[in-house]
Amino acid sequence: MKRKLFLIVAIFSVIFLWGCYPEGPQYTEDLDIVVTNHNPDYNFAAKGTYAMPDRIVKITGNMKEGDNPEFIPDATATQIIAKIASNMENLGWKRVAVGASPDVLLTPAELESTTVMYYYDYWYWWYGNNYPYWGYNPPAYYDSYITGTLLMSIIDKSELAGNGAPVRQWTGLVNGILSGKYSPERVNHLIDKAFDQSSYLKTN
Amino acid sequence: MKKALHILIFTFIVSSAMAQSHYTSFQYTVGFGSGSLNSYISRTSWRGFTLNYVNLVRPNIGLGFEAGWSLFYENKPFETYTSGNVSYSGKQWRYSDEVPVLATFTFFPMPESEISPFAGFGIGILYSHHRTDFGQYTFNNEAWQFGLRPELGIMYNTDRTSLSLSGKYFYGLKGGDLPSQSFFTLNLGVVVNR
Repeated sequence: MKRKLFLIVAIFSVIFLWGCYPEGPQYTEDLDIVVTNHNPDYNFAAKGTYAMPDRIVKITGNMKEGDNPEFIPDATATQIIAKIASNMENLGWKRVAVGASPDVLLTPAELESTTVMYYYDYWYWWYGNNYPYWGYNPPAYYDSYITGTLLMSIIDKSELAGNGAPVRQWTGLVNGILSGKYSPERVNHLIDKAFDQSSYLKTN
Repeated sequence: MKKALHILIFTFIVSSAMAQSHYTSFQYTVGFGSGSLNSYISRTSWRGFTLNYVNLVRPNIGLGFEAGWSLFYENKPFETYTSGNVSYSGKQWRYSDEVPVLATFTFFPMPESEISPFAGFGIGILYSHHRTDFGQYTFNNEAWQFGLRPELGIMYNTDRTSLSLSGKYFYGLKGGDLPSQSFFTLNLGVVVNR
């Protein structure tokens, strides 16, 4: 009897401990990340001017098919570009027109990807016609979420790779799940973070 | 060496035949990381258990097996990490599963005493699995390491059921994807069939 009681206590204790496995992220903002990379041999301090477009291109792959580029809504782009410009100014950079021979170009771009998750009950082939009797139980359901990425690149026209393509001297990437309502505060915070961790961008 | 091994095996077999009793224990385990494990996760593990089986080949010597599980977990706030030219910021959820499976030796200097101290040593495998959730990405690393485990404890004996309280130190030799894993545990257990 004591041995059975011991086994029961042990099994339920294990189940209880396993059931207390800690949870992970609870909110979409928990999954926001900021990544920056730079060329350590590039002397940012010796530069001072940059040019940046007034619109943010949306990377969809359509230009490969010869279509015109797509852009994110102007209102959103204006807010993002203003925040980027503010951070660059704090680091000592001066924004000039693209035709005024800037030292570098800062090119923001946006990318979205959709992830679809689906579930198919593999026993549906067996109970399919009978399921109304067992309660409504759809054989398959799906869910999806959209991930957005803001990509900021600094290129120097005079620094080209062997194939003639410009080399990114600095890359800032902001990534997160796009929830229903756009939050400028959330995006501004992440852009600030990208520049906070890039103090080497400071120019004289 | 070969002769010593034969003697050891013969002793073990004879001892097993002469075994007077055995016991099984289930322990609630609290873990404290040390070394590289503590660098990865600094929080105490409150989720753990250990199962022991000991065959008393002598009244004061037990040989047996032990298996357990401890989960170390830490929720890191939004922070910046740098590796080379890359800096990355975000929240992290870190998990470390530690699973020792050992053969054990236990010595009871006062086996008939109501409060019986004991000391033991275990040798076997320490499986470790580290999981880091960062943004929408998960990074997994695991290792099967050769494990060693000293133990000190006391047992409070009441007829066929006893309570045990012990401290253990697990040490895994470097191997697999992870550096050497080590941690202390405090174990409170119920012992039956002694």
